[in-house]
Amino acid sequence: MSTSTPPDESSPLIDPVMMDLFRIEVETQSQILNSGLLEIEHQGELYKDFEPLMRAAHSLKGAGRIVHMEPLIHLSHTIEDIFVAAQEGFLITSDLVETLLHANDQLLQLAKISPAMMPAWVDQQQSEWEKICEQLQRGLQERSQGSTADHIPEKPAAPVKKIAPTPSSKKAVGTQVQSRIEDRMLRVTAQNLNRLMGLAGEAMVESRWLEPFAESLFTTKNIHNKLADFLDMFRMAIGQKESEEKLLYYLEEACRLADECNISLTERLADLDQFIVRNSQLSTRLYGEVIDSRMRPFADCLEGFPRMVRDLAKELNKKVRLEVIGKDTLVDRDILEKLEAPLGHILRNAVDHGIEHQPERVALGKQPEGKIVLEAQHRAGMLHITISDDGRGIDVDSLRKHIVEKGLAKPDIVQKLSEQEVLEFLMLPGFSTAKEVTDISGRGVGLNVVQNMVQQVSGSIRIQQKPGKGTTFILQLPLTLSVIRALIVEVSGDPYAFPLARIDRVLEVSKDLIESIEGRQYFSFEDQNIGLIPAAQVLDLKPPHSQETLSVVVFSDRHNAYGIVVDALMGEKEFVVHELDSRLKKIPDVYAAALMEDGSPIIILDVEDMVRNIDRLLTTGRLHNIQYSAEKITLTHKKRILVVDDSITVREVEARLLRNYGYDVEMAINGMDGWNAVRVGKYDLVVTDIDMPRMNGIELIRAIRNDNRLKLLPIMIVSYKEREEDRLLGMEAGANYYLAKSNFHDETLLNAVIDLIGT
Amino acid sequence: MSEDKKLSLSLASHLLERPVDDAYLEEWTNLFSQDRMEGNGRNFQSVVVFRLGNEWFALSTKVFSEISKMRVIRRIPHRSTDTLRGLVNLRGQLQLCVDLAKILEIEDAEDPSQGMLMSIAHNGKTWVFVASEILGIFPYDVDVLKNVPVTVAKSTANYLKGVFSFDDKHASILDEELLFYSLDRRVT
Repeated sequence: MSTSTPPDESSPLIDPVMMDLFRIEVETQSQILNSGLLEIEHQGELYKDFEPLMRAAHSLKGAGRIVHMEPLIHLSHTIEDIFVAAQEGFLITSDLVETLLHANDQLLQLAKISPAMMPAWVDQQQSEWEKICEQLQRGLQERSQGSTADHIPEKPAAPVKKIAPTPSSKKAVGTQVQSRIEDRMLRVTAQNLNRLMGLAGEAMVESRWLEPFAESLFTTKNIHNKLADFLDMFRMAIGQKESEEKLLYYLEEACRLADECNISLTERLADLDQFIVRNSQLSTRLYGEVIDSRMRPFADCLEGFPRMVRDLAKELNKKVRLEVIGKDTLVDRDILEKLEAPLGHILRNAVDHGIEHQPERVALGKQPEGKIVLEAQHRAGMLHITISDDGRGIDVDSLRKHIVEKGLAKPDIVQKLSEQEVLEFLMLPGFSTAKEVTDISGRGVGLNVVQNMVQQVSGSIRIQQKPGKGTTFILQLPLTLSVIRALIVEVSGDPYAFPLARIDRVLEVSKDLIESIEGRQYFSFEDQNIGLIPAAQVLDLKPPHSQETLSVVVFSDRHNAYGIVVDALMGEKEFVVHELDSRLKKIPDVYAAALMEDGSPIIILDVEDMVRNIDRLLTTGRLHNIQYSAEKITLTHKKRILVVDDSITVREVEARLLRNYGYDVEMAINGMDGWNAVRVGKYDLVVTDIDMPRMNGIELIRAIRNDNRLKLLPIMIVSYKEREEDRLLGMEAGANYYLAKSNFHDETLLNAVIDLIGT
Repeated sequence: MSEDKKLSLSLASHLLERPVDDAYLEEWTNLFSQDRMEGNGRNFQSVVVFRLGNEWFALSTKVFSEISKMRVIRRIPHRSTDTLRGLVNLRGQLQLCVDLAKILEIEDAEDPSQGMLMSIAHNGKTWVFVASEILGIFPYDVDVLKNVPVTVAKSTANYLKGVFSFDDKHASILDEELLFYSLDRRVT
């Protein structure tokens, strides 16, 4: 498969595990190089710490050797040479840094390719890599000149290539992300894993305690048996009127045994008590450790940011630097994943709109280089992320005008709004104050997307600014998504969970406080009218019997408050969130599921979704008419046709044609799929191709004709093959009609279908 | 360990671990690569036999991953009017529980809250359904499979590969490929 390495008796087949490890190695080392190179550029002459960079390049070379990747060996060797020279005093010019960054980009890209595709991709890139190597070597040879590099290049050097990788290299080899989400690899710290192993081991040991314990209980049981025996004998002795001595003896033995029993049981209970304490401690620690393993350092999502900020600034002819505080702050990996896009957008915004050009900054007495500080911190049980720039801030007055211009609010209202409220308008969808839509930002999409993401995880976002001084975005997010505190309620006999974060309040409202307008119920609370909606209705379930007091859970969005009526309130609990099976697509009103204490499943409701649906219901007045059809039940008498073809174009064309005419059409992608479909569904006609993988058309037709239940099903062949032999073959197999694709006009197909099955 | 015992152990391992020569390997390779002899021996497959409603069904043992006692099946809002019965907790994982009787269009299925949970899997996806009773694992002779009687409803019959007899009963064997295909289509 790979042509980059010459066949060699000693080179073994590279096994996939090795390639996986190789990929991780490339990722790790190229990231080290990336941060290092950016630092070199920033510090210029002052940078001295070349050792780790040299080692990174060296490791890459070694890795390249193991997997026999010649181009990588060559490239990393050249990079290593540069750092070795740098250690001896060679000055890396900014041009050379540029080239090195370009080279490293290639490595970063390599790390994203699926291991199986790597050799082919490297093959493709070979000439590019060779060019880079040449450039690097040339840069290295200029060491004798050793001119002081300037930190601030006036213009980007011409011969250096464009930074962004060419799109063709990305498309040509399918950069396949791991095909199944469940198989993706995750990073967990060795420490965490070790602790988990320790706890798991301890759990095993603890579980072994139970068997001997059960046995010891047997001993107690035996004593008990003996006691019973003696009591029996005592009873018999009385019956047989034995001597008082004997009676006393039996009784005393019985008492002694009873004592022994007592002591034994007390000891066993004490043992069990201790076990319970140990066990619950162990379980709690194990649970905590597993939850912890979900946490990653904040730095994990920052990979591309410093570089992005620098490149973007360069493009805009500005100088901007990104500083990160709190790289080690632990963040739930799911939240981390969701953060990348929003943070990226805010940063781009800051560079584009926030930071001024150098002359302007100097005139204002600021440093020519703009600074953006990205900080992550745990505070009060939440994750706080702030992005602040020292740019021009936001012109609030201009913003007020803009709001009026866009017709979003009346002038007198806008006047009365506080600065905070005005700034919130920035996050409306489609809002943009940029004079033009640049490639980078100003499309008015971004901030709204950020707010959506933040709300999705039940967080919040705030904007603060000081004119001329800068802007700050403050995001408040939960520490983890995997555990959620929820209110348990009962609706229609089943328990449901409402995430606490979204609940305003919970009330028990007595019937006499409920009023109604136009058939809709509401009640008054603290000067607000809260509309009442039965949860059973939203969820399409059986409503409860009428009650004296209603249990109401109150939510609100920006405009309204909603009171959802449930059958009963059951309590509050912390749940580990189980995502719904991927086979179930997004279900309305459902967020996820969890397990209750007794092990039974509980549905966690999606409040945002419910509020949206309630809104819709209220405005369209169809409160009593919720219909969610889950099954494709055909209630009409349309005739059903199955189209079988492995070409997606042909399938779609034929399907559209037939549907437009009024038929119900379903598709199958090959013969086997068609065979399954025809046995499961009930069709009036099958339209099939001949040449298909996994059972061709002829085989399909024969199978249908051989089946007792399907042998009379009309079949039409639509095929590229139009020789007489093909036609004969098809008809002999049992087709009713043969249509050649070259004869294909809308008319011919339709007419043939009508002929066969009517309209 | 006695000397004798040690000696016989070492002789035994010597015997069992002696290297094989090529001719030996060749002979056995040929033996294993031969086509299975048809008609001569009998061709047995293994199935699990269970009851839905009043009828016995069988499904290839290979597709089963677990059988357990009845547990709470929680219905899913907006989705539990069809063949999906809801979520069930098996070993800490939430699995999908389907109504097999509905798919096979069997009437007079029994009390849905009784029975045993059968967990079957295909392509890494698990499906759970409830059987009223499980008889056990049985072998059946593929060659002696009887045809599905005409009296069986058309829609059910599609899923049946045939009928086989055992003891004084007979069980209809389900076509697992078609079953999974149908489950995939209906639920996703």
